[in-house]
Amino acid sequence: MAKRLMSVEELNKFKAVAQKKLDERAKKIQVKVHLGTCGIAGGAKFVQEAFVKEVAARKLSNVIITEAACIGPCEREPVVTVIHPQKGRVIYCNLTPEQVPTIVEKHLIKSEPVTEWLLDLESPTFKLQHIRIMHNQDIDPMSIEEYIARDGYQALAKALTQMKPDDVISEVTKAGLRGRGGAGFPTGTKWSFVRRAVGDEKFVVCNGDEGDPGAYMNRAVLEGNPHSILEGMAIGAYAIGNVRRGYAYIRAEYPLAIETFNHALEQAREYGLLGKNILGTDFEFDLTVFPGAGAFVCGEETALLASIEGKRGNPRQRPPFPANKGLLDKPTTLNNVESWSNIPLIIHHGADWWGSAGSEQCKGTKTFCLVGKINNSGLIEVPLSTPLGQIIFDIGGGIPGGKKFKAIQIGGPSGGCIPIGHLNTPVDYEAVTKLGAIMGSGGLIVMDENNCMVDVAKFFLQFTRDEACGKCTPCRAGIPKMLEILSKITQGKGSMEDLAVLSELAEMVGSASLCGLGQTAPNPVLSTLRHFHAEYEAHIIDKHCPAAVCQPLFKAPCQHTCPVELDCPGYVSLIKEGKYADAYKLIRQRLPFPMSVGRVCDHPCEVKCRRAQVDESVSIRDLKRMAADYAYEHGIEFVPPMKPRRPERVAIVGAGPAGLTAAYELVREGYNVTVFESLPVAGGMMAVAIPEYRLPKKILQAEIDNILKLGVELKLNTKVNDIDSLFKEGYKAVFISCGAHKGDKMGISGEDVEGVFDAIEYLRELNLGKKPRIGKKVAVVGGGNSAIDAARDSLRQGAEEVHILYRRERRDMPAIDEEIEAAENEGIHVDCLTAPTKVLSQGGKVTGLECIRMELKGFDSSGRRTPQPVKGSEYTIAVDTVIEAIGQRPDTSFIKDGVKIAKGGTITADPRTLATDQPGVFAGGDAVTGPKTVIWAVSAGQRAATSINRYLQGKPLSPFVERDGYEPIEIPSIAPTEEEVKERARMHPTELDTKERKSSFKEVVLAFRPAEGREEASRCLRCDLEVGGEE
Amino acid sequence: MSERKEITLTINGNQVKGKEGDTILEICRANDIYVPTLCYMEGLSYVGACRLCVVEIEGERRINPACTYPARDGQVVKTHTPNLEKYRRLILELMFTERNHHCFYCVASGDCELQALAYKYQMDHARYPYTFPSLPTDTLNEYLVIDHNRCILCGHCVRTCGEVVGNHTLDFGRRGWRTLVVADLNQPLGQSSCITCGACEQACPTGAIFSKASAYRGRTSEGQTINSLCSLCGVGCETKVLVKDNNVIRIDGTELAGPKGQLCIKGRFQQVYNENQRVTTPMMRDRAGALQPASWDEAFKLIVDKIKDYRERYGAVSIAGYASSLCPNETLEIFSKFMRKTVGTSYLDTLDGSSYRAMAKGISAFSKNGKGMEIESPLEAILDADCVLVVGSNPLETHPVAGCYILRARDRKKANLIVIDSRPNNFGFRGDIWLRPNEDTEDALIGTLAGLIAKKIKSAEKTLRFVSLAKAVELTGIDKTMIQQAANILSNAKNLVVVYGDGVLEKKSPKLIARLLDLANLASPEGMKVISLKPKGNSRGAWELGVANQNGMAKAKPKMVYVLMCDEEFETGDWVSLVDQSEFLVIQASYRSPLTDCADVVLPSPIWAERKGKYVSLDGKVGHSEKVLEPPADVQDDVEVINKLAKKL
Repeated sequence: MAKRLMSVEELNKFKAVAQKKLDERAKKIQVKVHLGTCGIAGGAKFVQEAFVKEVAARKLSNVIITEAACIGPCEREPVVTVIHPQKGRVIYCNLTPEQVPTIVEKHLIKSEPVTEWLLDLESPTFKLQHIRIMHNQDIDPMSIEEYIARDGYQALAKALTQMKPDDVISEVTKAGLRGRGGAGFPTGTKWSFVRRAVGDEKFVVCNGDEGDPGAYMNRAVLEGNPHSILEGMAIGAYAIGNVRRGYAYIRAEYPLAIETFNHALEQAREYGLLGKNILGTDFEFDLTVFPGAGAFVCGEETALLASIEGKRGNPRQRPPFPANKGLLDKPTTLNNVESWSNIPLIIHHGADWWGSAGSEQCKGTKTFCLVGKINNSGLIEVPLSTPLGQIIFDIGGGIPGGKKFKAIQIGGPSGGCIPIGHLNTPVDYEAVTKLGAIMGSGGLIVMDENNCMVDVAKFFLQFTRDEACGKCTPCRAGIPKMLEILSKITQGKGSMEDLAVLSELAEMVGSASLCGLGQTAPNPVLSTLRHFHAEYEAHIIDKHCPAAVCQPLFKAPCQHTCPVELDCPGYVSLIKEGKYADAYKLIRQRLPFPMSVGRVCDHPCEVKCRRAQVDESVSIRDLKRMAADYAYEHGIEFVPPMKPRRPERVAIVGAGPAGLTAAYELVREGYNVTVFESLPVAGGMMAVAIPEYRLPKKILQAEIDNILKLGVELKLNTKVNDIDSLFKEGYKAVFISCGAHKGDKMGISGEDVEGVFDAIEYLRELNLGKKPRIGKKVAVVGGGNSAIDAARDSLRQGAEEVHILYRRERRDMPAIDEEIEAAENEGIHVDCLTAPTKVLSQGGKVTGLECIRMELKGFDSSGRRTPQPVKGSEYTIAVDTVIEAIGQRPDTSFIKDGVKIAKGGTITADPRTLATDQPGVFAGGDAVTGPKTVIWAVSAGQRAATSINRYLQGKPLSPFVERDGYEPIEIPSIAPTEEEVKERARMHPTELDTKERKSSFKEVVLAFRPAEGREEASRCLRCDLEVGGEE
Repeated sequence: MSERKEITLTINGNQVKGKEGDTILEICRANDIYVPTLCYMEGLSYVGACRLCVVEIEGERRINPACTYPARDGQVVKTHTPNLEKYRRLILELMFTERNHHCFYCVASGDCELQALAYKYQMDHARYPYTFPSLPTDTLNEYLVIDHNRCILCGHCVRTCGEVVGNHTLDFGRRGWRTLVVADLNQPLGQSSCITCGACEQACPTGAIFSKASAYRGRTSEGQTINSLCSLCGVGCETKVLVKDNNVIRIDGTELAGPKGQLCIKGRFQQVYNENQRVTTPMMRDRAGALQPASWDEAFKLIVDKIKDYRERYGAVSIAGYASSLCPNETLEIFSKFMRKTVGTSYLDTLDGSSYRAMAKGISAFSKNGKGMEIESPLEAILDADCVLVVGSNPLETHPVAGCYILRARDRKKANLIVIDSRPNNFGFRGDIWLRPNEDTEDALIGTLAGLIAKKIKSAEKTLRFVSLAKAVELTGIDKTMIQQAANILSNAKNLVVVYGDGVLEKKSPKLIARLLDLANLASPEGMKVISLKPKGNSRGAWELGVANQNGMAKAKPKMVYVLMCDEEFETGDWVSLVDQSEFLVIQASYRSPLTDCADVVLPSPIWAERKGKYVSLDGKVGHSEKVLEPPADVQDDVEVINKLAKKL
C-alpha cells in the first residue's frame, strides 16, 4: 500500500529506493515494448505477447519485459527497446511476432543484436533531435515509481519548499517558455495575469484537445509522461495562488491518454502529491480529467472552458480574457499539454539550462509531428528555430520515391504552407508567421509534387468548415463560400475574378471572425495564393492541374501531365488488346515523333502514374515506342487529315522538334511552311545532341520525312539573319524555335586550352559524323542530360576513364535517372560534391583538372542545398579531356529588335500563346524555356501552330492547343481485372550488353517484344474510365 | 450600487461621454452614432456573433465588435473606416448567399432588419455563389413557423427563449455551416417543450420565425401601432397592437426584457386568432322561444319591464348581477352602481368573486389586523427569489409570463423550485421537488411544512395550524423524506416567494390560505413574499371596487339574473346554478355561448380591442387598455348600454 509522502525527505527516500530498484533491473536484460496508441495500432501487443511467450518458453530469468510509451518513429512501429547490461541500448523496429524468436535467440541469449532490424540511432533522424519533453517515453507511464526515480516531483518539491509563488513565475518568465499550443504567448506573463486577477477561487486548465489533422504530439506526452503534466499543473497552481482545482481537457478520441492520465492522478493522490497538504505543506490541489467530445473548436480556450462548464462548446468574444473571467467566471490559466510538461524541467533544472536550447527569441525544444510525404514520418523533438530543411531532409529523411518536395503545411488547418524556396526558415513563432503560416501545436505535413495546392487549401477549408462552431458570420458563412470558390476552380470553372473575390473574402474572414479558428481558417488559402499563385492560374486559365489531382479537369493523370496530352491510357489499352496499329494512330494524332519520343522522353506521365501507388508506374514511354516501332516495321502509314490550302506563308526558324511540329501542324492547316535550319541536318537537338545509341539517326529521319512529305519546305544550311527580312520576303508569320545550342562556360582559369570541349559542341560534331579528338581520360563537368550523353559518347569514342563531376549530390542531378544508371553501368564514374577550380595544362594541352570538394549548406530558392567549397580540400585529377556541360542558351544573334531577350539569354514569349512582343512573331522550345526535353518542344510547336493559325485568321489567341479533325479511334473500356491489379513489377525492355555498348554506337535499349508489351500494358489501372460520378 | 464613473471616449474624432461598464456600442447608441447590428438586442446577453458592429480601437491588434467590447476612458474608436464598411458589406453578402433569402415572398419583407441593412449598404448584388441549401420549414406549431431558410443565426430567438422566457426550448444544433436553430433535441416546435409565447418571433430580425396569424396581413409601416394592455389574466402585460383597416394584425410585447413587456400565447396569438361567433345585435326570444335579432329599444324595453316587474313582485333582492373580471374598472363601476343604486339589489358579484372572499377570510385570519390583498408582493419579487414555492398552479399555463419569471429566477439566481399540487401538473416536473398530496390534503402538507420550518429556524412563534409530520405523511401519502427535504430547502431560503394559483383559489378555503401565509411568514421573517395568481385581467380591480365583496351571495335565489360577460369565454362556475334557477336571464356578451343560447335577452358587448379602460393587475398595478378597433355597427360600449338602461329605469 502506498504511503503518502509527507515531506521532501520522504520523497527523496522513496526516490532512492525506486532508483535502487531500477539499478537492480539494469543488471538484467530489459525488453521495453513501446505501447503508445500508434504502437498498439501497429501490432505491438502481439509482439509483446510473442516476447513473453518466447522468454517464458526458454525460461530466461535474466530478461525483464516492460511496457513503455511512444518514442516517435511512427513509420517503424511496432518498436521495441532492448537494453543489454553489456551491449547497451538498441531499438528494433517494424517488428512482427515472427521475428521475436530470432531476437530472443540471437540477442537475449547470445548477446548479438540483429543489426539489420535495428533503428540507426546514429542517423541524423535521431542525432539531430533534442529530447526533453519526451525524455520519459522509455519508462513505464503507469509507474509513478519510475517517474520519481527519474527526478519526478523534484520540481514540485523545490517549488513548494524553496520558492515563493512569485519566484516560480519569474523563473518561468526568465526561461522564456512560450505557449506550445501555437500562439506562443509567454507562459510566465500569462500566469502573472492570473495571479494578479482578483478572486478567491482560480483554476488551472490543461488543453489536451489536440485536433489538427496529422498532429498527435500531445497524445504521446499524455500517454507517455502524464506525471510531468500533472506536476507542471501543480506547480502552476502553487505559483498562481488560490487554485485548488485543475482540469485536464483531453479529447475522448484519446482513450489511452485518458486512462493513463487518470491512472497517474490516482497514483499521485495515493502518494499525497495531489490533494490536501501536498508533501506536508499546506498546499492543496487536485485535478480532474474532462473528456472532450470531439469538437475541434473546443481547442479554443473559451470554447474549451464553456465545454467544461457543460455548455455548448462555442467560443465567446474576448475580452474578458480567461485570466480574469475563465472557468465559471473565475480567473483561469489555460496552457497546452506541452507547456505544462515543460514546467518541471524549468523549475528543476533552472531557467538557464532550459533556455540553452533553441534561439534567443524562441527558447526550448518543441515536439512536432512530421507526416505526409516524408520518409521518416513520426514524432520528433527539436530545439526551436531548427531550419525547416533540416527537419524535412535530415531528420525526416526526405521525400519518398525520390519525388520533389513542394511545400510543408505548418500549424494544421489554421496554418499555412511554406514552399520549397524557404527551407532555411528557422521553425519558430516569428519566422513561420512571417511566411503566412503559424506554429500551431506542431503538425508538419509534408507535400510533394503530387499534391495540388488548390486541393490542399480545399481540404483544410473543408475541415474548418465542418469544425467551426457556427456562431459568427464570417467564419460560418465565409469558409463555405471560399470552399465553393475553390471547388469551382478545381473543376475548371473558375475565373481570375474569383481569385480577387477569394482573397478579399479570406482577408475579411481572417480579420473579422470571432475566435482563433475563424481568424486562422483562411491561412491555407492565403498562403497558397501567396506562394502558389501560378498553380491557381493554371487551374483557371489552362484548366490544368499541375499535380494531376483535380479529377474534374482530366481523364487520367498520365495524360494530364503529358505536355501534349497524349492519350496514354488509350494507347496502352489498345496495346493490351493487341491493336498496335490503332495504338500508333492514336499516338500520331498528337505526336509526330512517336519513335523518337518513345526513346528519349523523360516521361512526366510516369511520374504521375497511379500504378506507382501499388508498385511501380507503367512503362508508358516504352509502350509508346513499341507501338511506333511496330508501325514502322510493318509499314503502317498514318495519314493526317489535311485542310484546304491557304495562301499565307509561314517561316519557321530552326528544324528542331518544336519547329518541325509547328511546320507539321501548320501544313495540315493548309499553310505554306518553310523551315530554315542553319545546320546541315534537321531534327535539332534530337539530331545533333542525342547520341545514336539512344536515338538512331535512321529512326529520326524517318519521322522527319513523314513531316516533309506533307509539303513542308526545309532549307538546310540556311541561317536566318534577321526576322524582318522574312516578313519582307512575304512570310506572314514567323515561329522562332532555334533551340539552345550555345554551351555555357565554367568561368574558371585555363579553360581555353586544347582538350577542353563544350558538351553541346562535342555532341554536335560527333553526331554530324566528325570525330572530335578526345583523350583517354575524360572529365565531364555537369549533371544534366548533356553531361551524361557526352560521358557515354566519350566512352564509345575510346576513352578509358570517364568521370562526371557534379557539385551536388547524385539525387540532385537533373539528368534522367535511367541515363545516369546506364552510364554507371557502363563504368563511368559519377563524382559528386566536387567542382573544378582550374584546368591544368601543359603546352596548351589539358593535363589535369584541379577540383575542390563541396559540401551542402543551406537551401537555395529551388529547394536544393547550396554547394559550398570545403576550404583546403583541393585535389587534382589527371585528365586529358575536359567536357563542360553546365548549361546551354540559345544563339539569338539574329534577333535585332522587336522580340525581347530575357536576362538568361532566352527569348521572351507568352508561355501560353508563345506570342512575342512583335506581332506575328512567335517563339517556343528551348529557345524560350532553356534546355528541356523533346516532348516540351513538341508541345511548343503545337502551341505555336494554334497561335499562328488563329493569328493569321484574325482570331484572338488562346491558351488551348487546337487538335481537331482526326478520326476517333475506339478505345476499349475494360477495367483491369483483380488479377491485373495485384502487385507485380514493371517490365523492363531488354538492353544491349554493357560490353558491347562501349565499343559501338548501337542502340542500347530495345523495344518491348509484343508479349512483354501486352503484359506491361495490362498493368494500367485505367484511371480514364469513369467509375461513378465524383462530388 | 455605487454610481458608475463617467468616462470620455473619442469616437470618430468626437469626444463622447459614457459610463464605466458600458460597451462601446452602448455609448455609440447613447450618442447617436449609428453602428449596424443584427445579433445585438437590448435586454439579451451580447455575443458578438454577426460581426457587423466591428470597430477599430486604437492599440488593439484586431478589430473588435463594439457590442461586447468594454469602453474605457480615453479610448479612441473608429466605427466607419472604409475597411470596416467593406467588411460589413461582405458580411451582408455572406448572409444573403448563405441561405435562401427570397425577400419577394418573405413575410418579413419590409419589416426585416437584414433587408433594411442590405438597402442601407446598397447591396444590389452578391458576388458569392448562392449555396441554396435544402433546409426545412417547421410548421407544426399552431401559431409559429420556423423557416430556416431565412435564418441568419443571430441567436435572438435562442437567447430570448433562454434568458427572457427561461424555457430553453430553442438552442443551436449541429455546428459550423450546418448550424441550425433547434427546439429541444431537434424536435418540431409543435412537439417540443415550447410554450408558444412567441417571444422568439418578436425577437427575430428576419422572417425566420413568424406568426401564422400575422403573416402577409400588413407591414408595420402600413398600420397603426397602439400601446395597450392584455387583460386576459392578472399579470397585465403591456402590448403594442398593430392595427390596419380595423383589423388587429399582430400583438407584440413592448420590450422583451422589460418588467411587463413579455407576452404569452394568449396575449400574443389567441386574441388575434379568435374565431368565436360574435353577438352583433341585441336578441330576444320570439313566440316560439327562438332567439331573434331585436332593436336596442325593444331589448331595453323588455329588460326595464322585467326589472320593474320582478322588483314589484319580489323586491329588488330577486334580481342579481354578475360581471366578468375582464371588464375594466369603468364598466365595473357603472355596473355596480346600476345594480346597487338603480336596481337596488345587493346581489352583485363577479364571476370569480367567491374565490377572493375565501382568500380575504384567510388573509384576515392570518394577519388578524384587517389587512387585505395589499400583503401580496409585486410579481417582480420572483426575479430576486432564491426559492419559489408554487402551490396549486401551473403558471406556465394559467399565467405564462409569471411562470417565466420563475424560470428566470431559476436560471439567474439558481433559485430552488418546489411545487405542491395534487393535480396533474406539468410544472411539477420543473421543480427540484414536486410534492403531490392526495386530493384535498394540501392544507395538512402546508401545515406540516410550516411546523418543520418553525422547528428548523427555532421560531418561538407557535400556531395551532401546524400539523405533525406523521399525520401529514398519513394524510398526503407523500414520502417523509421528501417532505423533510422540502422543509429543508424552504428553511434555508433567504428570499422565498410563495406563488399560489387556481388550485388553491378554487378550493375557497380560508384555512388553506392562512396556513400558506403562515408558512411564507415563518420562512421569511424579515418580510414574506406571497403572490396569488388571479385568473382574470381585472380580478383585483373588481375586488378593490367592492364588486365582489358581497358575502351573502350564496343565499341568493334570484328570479332575474343580469350577466355582464363581455368577451369572457363561458366556463361553469358556482354562479351557473343561480342562472339556471332564474326565470329571466339577460346576457351582455361579445360571443355566442351556451349561456347566450339560454338567455332571454342577449345584448352585444364589445371585445377587448373595442373598449378602453383601467385594469388592476394581480399585484395591484394599474394599467390602461386602449380601444384599437371600431366595434361592429350595432355594438355599443358596455358603459353606454348600462347608462341607457339606468336612464330608462
